[in-house]
Amino acid sequence: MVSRGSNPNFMNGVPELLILRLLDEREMYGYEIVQAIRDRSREAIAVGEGVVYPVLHALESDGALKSRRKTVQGRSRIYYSVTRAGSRRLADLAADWTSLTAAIHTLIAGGKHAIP
Amino acid sequence: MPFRELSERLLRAGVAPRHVRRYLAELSDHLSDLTAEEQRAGRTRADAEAAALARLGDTDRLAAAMLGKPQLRAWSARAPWAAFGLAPLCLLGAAYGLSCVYLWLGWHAFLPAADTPFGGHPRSPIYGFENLYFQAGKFFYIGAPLLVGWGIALVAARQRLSVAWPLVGWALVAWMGATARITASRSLVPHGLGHISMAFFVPGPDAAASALASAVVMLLLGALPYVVWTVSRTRGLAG
Repeated sequence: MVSRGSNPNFMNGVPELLILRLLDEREMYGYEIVQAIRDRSREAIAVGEGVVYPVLHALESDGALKSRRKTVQGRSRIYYSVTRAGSRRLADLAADWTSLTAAIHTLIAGGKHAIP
Repeated sequence: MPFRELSERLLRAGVAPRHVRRYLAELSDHLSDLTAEEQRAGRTRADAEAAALARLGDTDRLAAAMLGKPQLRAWSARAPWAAFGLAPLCLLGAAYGLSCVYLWLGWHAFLPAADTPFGGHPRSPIYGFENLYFQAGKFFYIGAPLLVGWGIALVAARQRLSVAWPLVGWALVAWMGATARITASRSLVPHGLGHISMAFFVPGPDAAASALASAVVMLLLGALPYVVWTVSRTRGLAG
């Protein structure tokens, strides 16, 4: 589980979560991932296009992703897909973010006991 | 090449060369895709390229994203003491171990009656394949410190390292190589199996001066590729 105590910046981990979620559906290469994030979030989330690759490399280095080179329409691309460890990491991150957004939503809505 | 500065910056900061290579390849592909997308949207080629570069991110941003991932750093940056101290000595030790096994096999195969494989045996001199076998082993034994030294030079050049840690590695390897002594005798162990042993770091009696001279020569030869690379690079940058 990603600890909020060690991750005070709320935006930390967002690109990682989005990438793992998308790759959990099917394998993709970097450009596809960036386009998918933009399309699915209706352009509300715009990750820096080039900075997606260090996140991919780091996730692969941690064992959450695996990559393979594939030639499509004459162009060689590096496709990424989620490993079993990556699926577990995605579940942890998603649970963490769901509880965080629920807490923030309650807080914004004016609840008195928003955060335990 | 639009990412030359980025490549140099990442390598100097200690990012592993394989990650840098792949990052640049992926960025180049991504840039091509973005340029094509912008052209499809009606921009001219020049405008499309400029827009694509802007969308990809500037060098500072691209570098910061990579440098923020410590797991992508090379071992030479994470633990230079291991990369240039421990690993070269282990490699040289392994090479010498291989040399000993090779010598022992040749000794048993070609000189079964000799008490030592280093001459003075009943059938000396030897010719043909037997001679070739032992000369190849000797070549590897003598060349091992140089090979390890050149390995250090290669890592240092690929990682754009300053001379400090590689120099530690060259000095350790040169001293280990210069003080290495190998002894062999069949009568030391029962059943005539033969015994080969090696000693390092402490020079033999009255051999300190020659060991020091050998170490200096090995150090200079080991560092030579790095010196050549540094000089050619400096000239290239000046030109």
